Amino acid sequence: MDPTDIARWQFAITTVYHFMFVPITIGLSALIAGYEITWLRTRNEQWLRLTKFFGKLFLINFAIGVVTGIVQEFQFGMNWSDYSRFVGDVFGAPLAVEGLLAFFLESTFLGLWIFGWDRLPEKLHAACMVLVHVGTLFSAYFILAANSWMQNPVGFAYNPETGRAEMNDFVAVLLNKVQLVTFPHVILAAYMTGAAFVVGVGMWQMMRRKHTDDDRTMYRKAVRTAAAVVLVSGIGVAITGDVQGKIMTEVQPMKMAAAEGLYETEQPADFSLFQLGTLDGERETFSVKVPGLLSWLATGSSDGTVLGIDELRERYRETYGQDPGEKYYSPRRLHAGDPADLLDVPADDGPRDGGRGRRGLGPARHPQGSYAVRPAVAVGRRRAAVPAALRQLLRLDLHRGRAAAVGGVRVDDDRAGGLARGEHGRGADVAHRAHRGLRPARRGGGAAAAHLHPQGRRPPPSPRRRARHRPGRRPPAGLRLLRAGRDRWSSRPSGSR
Amino acid sequence: MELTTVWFALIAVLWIGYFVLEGFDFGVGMLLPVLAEDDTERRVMINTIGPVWDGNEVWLLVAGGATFAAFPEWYATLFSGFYLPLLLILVALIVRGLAFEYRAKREEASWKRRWDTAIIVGSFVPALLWGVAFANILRGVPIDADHEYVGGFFNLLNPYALLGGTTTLLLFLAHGAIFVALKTDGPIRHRARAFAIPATVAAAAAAVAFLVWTQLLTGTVASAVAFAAAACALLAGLGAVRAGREGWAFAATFTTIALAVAGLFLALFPDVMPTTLADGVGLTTSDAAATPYTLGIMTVVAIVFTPLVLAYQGWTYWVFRKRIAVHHIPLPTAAGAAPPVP
Repeated sequence: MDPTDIARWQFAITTVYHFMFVPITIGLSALIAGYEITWLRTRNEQWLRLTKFFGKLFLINFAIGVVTGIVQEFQFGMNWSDYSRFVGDVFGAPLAVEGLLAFFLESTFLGLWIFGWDRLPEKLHAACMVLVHVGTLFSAYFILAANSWMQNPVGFAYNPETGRAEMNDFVAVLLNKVQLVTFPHVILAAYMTGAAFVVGVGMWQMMRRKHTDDDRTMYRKAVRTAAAVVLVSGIGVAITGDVQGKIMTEVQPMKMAAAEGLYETEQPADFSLFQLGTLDGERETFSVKVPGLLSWLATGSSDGTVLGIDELRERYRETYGQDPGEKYYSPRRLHAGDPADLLDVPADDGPRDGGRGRRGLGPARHPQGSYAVRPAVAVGRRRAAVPAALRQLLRLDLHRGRAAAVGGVRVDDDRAGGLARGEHGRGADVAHRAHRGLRPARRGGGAAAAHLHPQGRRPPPSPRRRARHRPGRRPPAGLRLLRAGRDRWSSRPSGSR
Repeated sequence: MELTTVWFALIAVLWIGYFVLEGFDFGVGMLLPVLAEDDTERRVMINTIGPVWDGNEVWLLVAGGATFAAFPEWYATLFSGFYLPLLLILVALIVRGLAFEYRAKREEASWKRRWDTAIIVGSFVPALLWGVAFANILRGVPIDADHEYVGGFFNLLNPYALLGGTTTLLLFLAHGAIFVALKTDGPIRHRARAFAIPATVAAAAAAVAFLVWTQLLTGTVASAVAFAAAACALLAGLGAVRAGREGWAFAATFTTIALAVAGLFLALFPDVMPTTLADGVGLTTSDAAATPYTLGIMTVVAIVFTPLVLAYQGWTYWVFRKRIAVHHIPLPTAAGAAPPVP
């Protein structure tokens, strides 16, 4: 494994681990505030006991959420420093605002809530938990705004002089259309998760022999209220998820096409429940499909057109003059002032030696910090009206990085590989320069494939692989399948995996 | 004043807030085995910081976030360059934070003992390493022309930085001891007062050496004034603690840390990450800054919300202003769903 892979693993593990606790605490804080307010209204002691019982469970989850959250905030700089340099002007702002608005609110009022039972008036005490919940909502909003910007960058311009993305409309960043659907989706999912947690714990307590009937009545209250929340928020999750799917199809059609394994543009498009494909990810061999469902999911109409991988790829080529994933983009190289070199770094630059001394010397200088930038995937009518200079919508690919981290699954790998037409068998690295003016001269034939991994993370492809991946000349399917099998079993890339 | 200068000052304020607040948290954590003799006394000590430690730690998060937004280059160079010390600090903060919430969840002595160890180590490591990190920033580290740190981990453990680490460690110990004396009653309070005197003397010795060295290294007139004022405050604190005036003593160590950190930032300005390499390029506030547009938005947000945060955090300290003693700690209750009714 090279350092970039390890950094991806580390980032992904921290993020996933962090987010195991966060939805529970968002949902639980709302329920606990509800229980405490109900106690104040009804004066039924059972609601107070529920408040305290679930308050304890809230705390131990919240503690893990907080401490992993610190890592979360710091690891952008620790692992992805070039990314941070490039996007800090846009991406840092929501993070800083999150700290100031949300983290202080949550932690301060949680401290008051835990230790304030006999120091604060009852209503004020309940208000503390409400404020903790408001803090979690603020926190979710700002961090999702940052994430939505990564999914669909808006409100910024790329500055070639500084080589970074610079914000010009903070409101646009906060009201990104991806954000507007992602936030309700995530919050409803958090309510659903927190409430499901209460249902599970409450039912377990109801079954335990040690409890009296009175206690069972109490836990039944918790289960019933939480089950109602699960139901309502679950419906909301489905609705917002559907809207989100349509928006993602619009802003990232390639991601959705790849996720669905849709190679050809179809109208109506079928939804594949199960699909087998060739090992090189070039085409499907077997699938179970529901007719028209993908059209309905992606466009809202059962005979809508859904773009497939092959057509999208052609459009990218027309727009950017290269395949997705053919080149990396790095602002540091731009700084170095050699546009020809910008995206065009030989893969056989030698293995990363981890030696600090190499940094700052040419392409090997970013062992950890490089990140991938994909082109705007918005295509079609909107694209036509936009001048080339504005097409630099840079899509920053931490998420793809995460997919890479879990991409050990061969099927994923191959399917993703189809994105870049198998040029490196690893769609997660699909990466792009976004600056049309800096497009390097096209190289003949398969030489381009040698430049996919600018940091030398991969050995140069063998001539055979080059031939296979040469754009525009595809051997017959049967031959490709055989070759894929041979590659798979006889000559594994001697790379890091 | 330029916005970059404003943001340099604001980040200095965030670090000052972090060190003066979490400083006594760390001190209390490190002193757990020194000042408490049984589990109840340890609980008393932990309860002095229980309601506030999490809020104190947020100052660090906001300092990190503000650096990201206002000085992306600084954030990138600092956090990637100081990877290993930061990782150690983060691990320490993780186990420490968990320990506060988890130690009381089971009654077994071994369970509590292990979490107590986590609190002690988790307080000791950051208290030492923050000083090491800041000293290195001031001294300069090998940063190449691409703003990348090219030194190793042990490069950071030079004598000056270790003195810096010792200084923060001892200052936080004294600050924490005085805080325990201020917030508790009974035998712990007496032990804390007794411990605070040698701790303050030791902290003063280290601080004077470190600040003089810093002044000689990169000092300006302004930093000299701040350092001198910090030294005076620490001497006043020593007098107050000897006289048994815990409130004044705490105010004095609070001021000392605030002035010392302010002095460090004054000595650093306008650099943010000086380099020691001849062909390297260090970072200054203007090199590292975000665009005026972003800084402007952040300034508005800071102006609106910082007073609010200060108000409610201050209110928390007011709510929990009473001293805590052993008799306030409830007897162990059966774990589970039967908490005492208030």
